[in-house]
Amino acid sequence: MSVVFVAVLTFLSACGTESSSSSSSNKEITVRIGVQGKTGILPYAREHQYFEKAFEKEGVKVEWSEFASGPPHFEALSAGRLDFGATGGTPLIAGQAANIDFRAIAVTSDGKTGNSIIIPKNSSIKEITDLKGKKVAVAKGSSAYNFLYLALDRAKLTDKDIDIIQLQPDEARPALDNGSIDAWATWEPYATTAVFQTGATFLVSGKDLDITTPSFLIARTKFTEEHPDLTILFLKTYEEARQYFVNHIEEVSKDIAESQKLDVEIVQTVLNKTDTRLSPTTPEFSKAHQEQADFLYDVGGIDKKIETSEVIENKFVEDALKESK
Amino acid sequence: MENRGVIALEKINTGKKSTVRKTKETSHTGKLIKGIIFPVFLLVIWELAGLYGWVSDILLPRPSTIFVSFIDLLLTGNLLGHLEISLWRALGGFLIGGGLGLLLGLFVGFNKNMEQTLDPTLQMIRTIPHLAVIPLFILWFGFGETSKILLIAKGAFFPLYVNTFLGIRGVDSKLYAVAKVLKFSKWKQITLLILPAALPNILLGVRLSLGAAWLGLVAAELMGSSEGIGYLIMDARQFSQTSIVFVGIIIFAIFGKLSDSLVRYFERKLLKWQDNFQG
Repeated sequence: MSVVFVAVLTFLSACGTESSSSSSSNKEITVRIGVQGKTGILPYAREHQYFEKAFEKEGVKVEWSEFASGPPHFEALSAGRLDFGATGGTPLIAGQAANIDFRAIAVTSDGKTGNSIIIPKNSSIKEITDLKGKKVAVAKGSSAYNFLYLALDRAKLTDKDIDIIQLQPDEARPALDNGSIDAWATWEPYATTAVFQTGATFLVSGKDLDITTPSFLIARTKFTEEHPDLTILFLKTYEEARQYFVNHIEEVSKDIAESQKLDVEIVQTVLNKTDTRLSPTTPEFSKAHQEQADFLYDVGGIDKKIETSEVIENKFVEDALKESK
Repeated sequence: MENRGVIALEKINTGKKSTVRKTKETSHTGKLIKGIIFPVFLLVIWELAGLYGWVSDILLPRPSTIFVSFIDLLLTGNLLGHLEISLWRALGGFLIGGGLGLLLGLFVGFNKNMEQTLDPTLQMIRTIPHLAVIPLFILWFGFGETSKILLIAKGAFFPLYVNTFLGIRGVDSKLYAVAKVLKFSKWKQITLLILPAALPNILLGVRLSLGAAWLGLVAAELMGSSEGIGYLIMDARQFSQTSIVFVGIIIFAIFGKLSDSLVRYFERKLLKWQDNFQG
């Protein structure tokens, strides 16, 4: 009867979380921010307490949660346990297809160079078409998942031609190293780290495809409705951290290398090639994102046609950028 | 159990109708209905909760949504194919792990030397958690069936090992003394005394091993697989399709219960000679 037990527990917790988001007064509010990876703005800001300092003035606390990739952010969002996060575009598409309530409040990157497919050293694979029948690891629902499909499409292959193995970045790396998988579709800094550390090579890089797949800052809709001021503050603080980040890349690289125990060269290479911005979702980005949603639906990556403009909300970031000038 | 002896005696003595309460064995359908009342009640509450919006549809999809997902998976999602793979993996792991557990349990049970040599090591291995071992198994054995079946076997090994060992050592020494008086040969000792006495424990071990095999199956399919029910669950998680997660969980529950019922059926047949408290 453990099904019954699980069902009762889930029922109780589901009822509970509906009322856990607090009222509109600022007493004892906690902002919950999600981080993934080690070389982005949010991990850096966390290390230097940008958000803690900014929110302290409003009497608001900050709590951080770590995630292995984009999709788990949406699990937490739907359970009401996360307020803000930074993910690639594809998790938003998957999240919207699953009817999760969230808002895309800003674009953080044009996504052109963030993803790639790498192969181990001494691999017999020379071009994308060689992937046929091979084992390719990817975190499903992530931006790399979309990238994989785009690359396959370029080579006139489908997902039925390869063996997709679902793995998060920390699981896929050992698999690449010991030859259990033949290729790995992933994002930075994991790709560059593997290349530097094991002599892996880029089979397909962002430059090869040159497709815009924007990355976003996401927010829990109810939070933005109850605390528009805190949402704007979040974006302002992000911009503050970002400004410092892009204007001091060498210093920041050394900093990240030390605190995250990474090689300085790797970090600097990754930071130099990443497009790091904060902007509203312009019509251009909106169109690119919608194209990705349609593409994923056409190739069977997701099972529903969605209208991505429904989740886009630019007013917060527009206000934040105005106030940041 | 009916007290036929007492009732017969009573009839002879008093000619009156027996005043000893005969315990009526509940009919088969009666048992089924009793077992189903609670789950059905829960299902109804669950569906209503979803219908009236008391719970979020994403966190806890309604039974009707789950059913629709189930039919969809069945018709277009190759559910039967995934189920078949999962069942084969579970069976293979159970047979290998459980079989080894039974054998080792017998060796160690019959032989004190074996026990002192092997048991401490085995107890240490028993407490290593599945999830910690998965990455290692994948590293050593790759993503194919081997690592998965071995993981399931590891889980299925211990309940049978521990319970077989316990069953054999649990034989009442008074009975053992009687066997000695009757000058039982070693073979007769084993087949007529020790094994039958150990059978209840061994069968319990089988039930627990089956359960452990199911758990091992879920763990094995969570990482790096491309087919199976556990894979379906993991895949659905990445896309936040909670109703598919529930389909997977329910399938596991149903097959777990079915395999358990199968063993209990054999238990009833093999342990008919037992005379103990029926509740």
